[in-house]
Parts: sequence; structure tokens; C-alpha cells
Amino acid sequence: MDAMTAREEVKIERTVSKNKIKCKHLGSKIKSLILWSLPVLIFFIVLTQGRYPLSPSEIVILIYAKIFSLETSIDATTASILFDVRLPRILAAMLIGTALSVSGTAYQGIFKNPLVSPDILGVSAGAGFGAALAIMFSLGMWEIHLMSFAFGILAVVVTYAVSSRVKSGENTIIMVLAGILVGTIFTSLISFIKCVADPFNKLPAITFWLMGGLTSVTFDQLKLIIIPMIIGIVPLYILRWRLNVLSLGEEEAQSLGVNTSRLKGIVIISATLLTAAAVSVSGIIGWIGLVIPHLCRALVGPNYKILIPVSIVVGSSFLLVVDTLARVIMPLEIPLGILTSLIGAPFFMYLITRTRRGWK
Amino acid sequence: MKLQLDNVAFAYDNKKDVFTGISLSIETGDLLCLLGPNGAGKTTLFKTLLGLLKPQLGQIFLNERNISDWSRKKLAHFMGYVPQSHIPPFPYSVMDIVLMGRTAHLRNYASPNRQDKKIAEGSLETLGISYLRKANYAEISGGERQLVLIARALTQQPQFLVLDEPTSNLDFGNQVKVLNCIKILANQGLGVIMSSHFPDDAFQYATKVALLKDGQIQRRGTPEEVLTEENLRQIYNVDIKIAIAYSGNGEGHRVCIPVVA
Repeated sequence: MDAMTAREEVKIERTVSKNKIKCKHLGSKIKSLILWSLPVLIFFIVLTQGRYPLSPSEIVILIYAKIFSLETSIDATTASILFDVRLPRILAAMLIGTALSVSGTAYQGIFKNPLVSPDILGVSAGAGFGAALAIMFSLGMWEIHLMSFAFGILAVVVTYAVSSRVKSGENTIIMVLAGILVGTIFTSLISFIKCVADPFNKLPAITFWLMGGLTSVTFDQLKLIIIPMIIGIVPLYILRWRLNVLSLGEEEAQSLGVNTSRLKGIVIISATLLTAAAVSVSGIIGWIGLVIPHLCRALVGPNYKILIPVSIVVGSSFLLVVDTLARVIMPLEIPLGILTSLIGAPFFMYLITRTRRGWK
Repeated sequence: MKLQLDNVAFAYDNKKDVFTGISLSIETGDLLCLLGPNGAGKTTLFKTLLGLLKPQLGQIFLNERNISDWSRKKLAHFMGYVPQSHIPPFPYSVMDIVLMGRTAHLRNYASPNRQDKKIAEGSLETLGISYLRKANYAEISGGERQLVLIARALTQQPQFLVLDEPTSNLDFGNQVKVLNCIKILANQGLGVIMSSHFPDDAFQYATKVALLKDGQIQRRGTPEEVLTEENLRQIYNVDIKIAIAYSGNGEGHRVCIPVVA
């Protein structure tokens, strides 16, 4: 009798726990559905916003007509605003938001330092210098991208070379320092270029580009950055769980079976590709790479398996919202870099005063 | 399975050797306790053994095979490391930390699956800390953290376990708990190599002892052979008496008693 009830109880318990697993599974599926639909939703809301408002029906008709090459009664100006101005800008904001936040998340993991961002390697400054140089010599769009990218990579390589020459236990800290130094050198070089650039047409272009903005982004520019972005983001996405192990430190990761120098190399190159691609289009937009990873950790915890997808979603949504604010709150457009700093820095102050659980 | 160090020497960049001519061997089921004064090079020796540092001289063999060109992954299949615990920069859960023990068994692009989670849960159960699985690793006690790191090393399913001062910074109760767990693991067939500052640990738990001082293994053998009053004085530069204490069931245990001046 007793054995019977015991057996039944076990049975019931099993079905209950099975249902629990199912529920949990379903719950996480719903959660991820909500999460992934967030940027899509914001995308469609933001598409209607601007100095020249577009109604949802106009947008739907125009996109439908574009896809199936149909004639519409909507005038050409409206179509041009949607396809030549607003759509590329919105896509750029999403891509750049993704690039900066994912690279920031990755850098924080490999340097096991929650206070670093894409800027620390000097990549932003390096890429900025490359582009400024290209603008000064009146090079074409392709060359601007290429120079920006080349100097971004050069900055990391120098930072990496300097820090690996220092034999010290706290190599990651040395690397942060080296990055700051390299960044300083490139910032000075940018200032130098500003001094010698033609003050009537080159200087304003350089200055405005460096302030960080998406005002004049075109589809052609997007085509140029999409390739380095994919090359950068795919390895990070694939290897994301291993970033957890890497964040424990080199020796511990090695003893757990990770080839740390190879993994670190892949992560640094990928994250730098992302940063350089973003900088070459939009100039230096600060803070995204620092704030978004923390925001995501607060949302879903530190596990990189979830953290990387979430930083894609949150990063793209965040920059999209901020860029929309930049173009709609005032009659004059506010440069994006100013706005992200104004939002990012106070948020970061709040972060460091609020909690330090798990920080060294 | 047998792990062997043959005449191993190590120095950091042209500086004085940390140690030279180290020869040791340990088999699965052994519990080797490495004793030595502060700065004797115990941690460096462990890192060399684990392949984290390249020895200047000598070889390390696993079952007669030289491991000098083995990949990290392959080494991790055989040797688990329990470092002195530190707090990671992000607030990982205990389960996150323990699951990282599966790294060597996963493909580069994979993350732990249900099977891996079962293995991790099994390790937590073995050490009696299943209740910690959802806790924040940064917020648990030092003793618990040590046990979690041992659980992670078990999750790695190695043949040998290398523990760097597993009892340092722990209160007396936690020291006993951690050492009891380690002893059980050795009895189950793991080869255990640990360093300690307490000769009593060696008396109580070890099957083999090695004394490291001045870059050399001074003595090695069973605890009874090695841990004599004379040898202990040489190692620690203080007078130590060895007494035999009888526990409730009449069993005698050797204990060290420092001579008070």
C-alpha cells in the first residue's frame, strides 16, 4: 500500500517536473520572442517619425510597391524620403548600435574588466585618425572607410604589441593602459590634422564627422560596412560561450582547456572590425560599448551565451531610439555623439554607485 | 595512470631558477601533499606541471608520454586545476562556474547541453553543495567557493586534480570539510596533488608527501617517513614535536606541535 502511494507520488512528481521544464522552456521562448521583436517594433515606429511624417499605410504601400516593382499614387518625394533618407539612416543606427555594443561586451570579457569599452584599445581614435587623414586628402568614400579601418587595426596591433612586451602578472591592465596611450597619440594626430586642414571645407567635414552622426548615411555606405560587420559578429556569436571561460583569466581558461592566445586573437580582431566599421560611417560615438553591456548584464545576467544576443537587440534598439531623438527633439539636429554621452555618462555614474557585486 | 616529473627546472626570464631537478611521480588514487615554506615555488611548480609554464629543463610524462606538445584541450582531459580562489569580474552563478569545467569536452562553437548540466549537477552533489547551484559565486563564503572550484574541476572529469593551497583562508570547519571531500575523491581513484601549509593535513589525508625548499625536493615518501621532527625543523626553521593523539575509537594520529619558547 505504502509502496504504491510512494510510487504514485514519484510519478506525480515526475510529471510535475516535466511540466515545469516545459513551462520554463515555453517561458524562455516567449521571452526571446519579445526580446527579438523589440527592435523590429521600434524600427516600424521610428520609420514614421521625423520632420516629414510618414503614415504607416504609406510606408506599407511604398515597401510593397518597391518589392514587387509596382506603380503607386504616392509622390516621388515621399518615396525618396523613405528609401534614400530615413531607411538607410535607421538601418545604420541599428547596425552601428549592434557593432559598438557587441564589441564592448566582447572587450569587457577578454580584458575581464567591466569598465572598458571599444575606446580603450585606441581603435576609435585610430579609426578616426585614418578617416580624418582620408578626408584631408580628399579621398573617396571607399578610401575613407579603408583608411579608417586600417588605422583602427593598426591601433590595436600597437596596443597589443606594447602590452605583450610588458611581462607582468596583470597583463590585462597593462593592455588597457597601452590602449589609452595609443588612443592619446591618435587623438593628438587628429588635432594636428584639424590644424592643417583647409578651414573652409575640409575642417568642418572632419569636425562634423568626428562628432558622430548618421545624417548623411547612404545605402552605398551601408553596403561597405555590412561585410566587415558580418565577419566581425559571426565569430563572436559562435564562440560566445567561451568568452565566459576567458573572463576568468588566462591561466584558469588554459587549465580548463582553452587555447587562450588563439581565442583572444579571434575576439580582438572581430571586435575591432566591428568598432572600425562603425567609426568609419558614423565617427566616434562614445559610451554605447560601455553602457549597453552593463544594461544587458542587469537584464539577463553575465552569461555570454545570452549576453551577446541580448546586446545585439538592446544595442541596436538603443542607438535607434537615441538617433531618432537626435533628429526629432529640436528643429536643429543634435549630433549623435553628444546625445549618447549625455545619456551614457550619467547612466554610468548611476551604475558604479549602485552596485559592485562581483566586481573586483 | 601515472604522472611523472623528470628532472624539471623552471626560471622566470633569465632570473634565478625557481626550482631545479624536480622529480616526482604520482599515480591515480594517490594523494600527494606538497609542503614548503612561503615562496618555495609550490604554485610555480604546479603551473609547470599543468603546462601553464614551460620548463627550461626536464620533461613531464603522462603514462610514459611526453606532454610538452599536447594541446590545452588534451591536457585538460587529464588534469584539473583548482587555483587559489578569486572573484571573477562578472557575477556568475555557481552553476555557470561549474559548467565551465565542460570546456575541454565541448566543440569550440558549442555551449553546454543537458548532458553537461547533469555532469555539473553530479559534481555539486558529490561535494554536497547542490543547494548553491543558483547562488551568486561572488557572494558565497570562501569555503563554499573552494568547493565550487573543486566541483568545476570534477566536471572536467580529469584523472589528476591539482589543488593550490585548497585550505588557505578557510576557517577550521571548512578546512576539514574541503579536505574530507578531497580524500573521498582520491579514494574514488583520482590522483590528487595539493599544496598545504599544514603538516597535519599531510598526516591526516596524504598517501605521499614531498618537501620543497630552496628550489629542490628535499624529501619525499610516505608521511611517516618524511615528516620527522628533524625534517620539519629544516623546512620551517622552527622546533616541532610530533605527538600521537588517540581519537575516540583508539586510533592513533600523528600531529605536529610547535615548541613554545
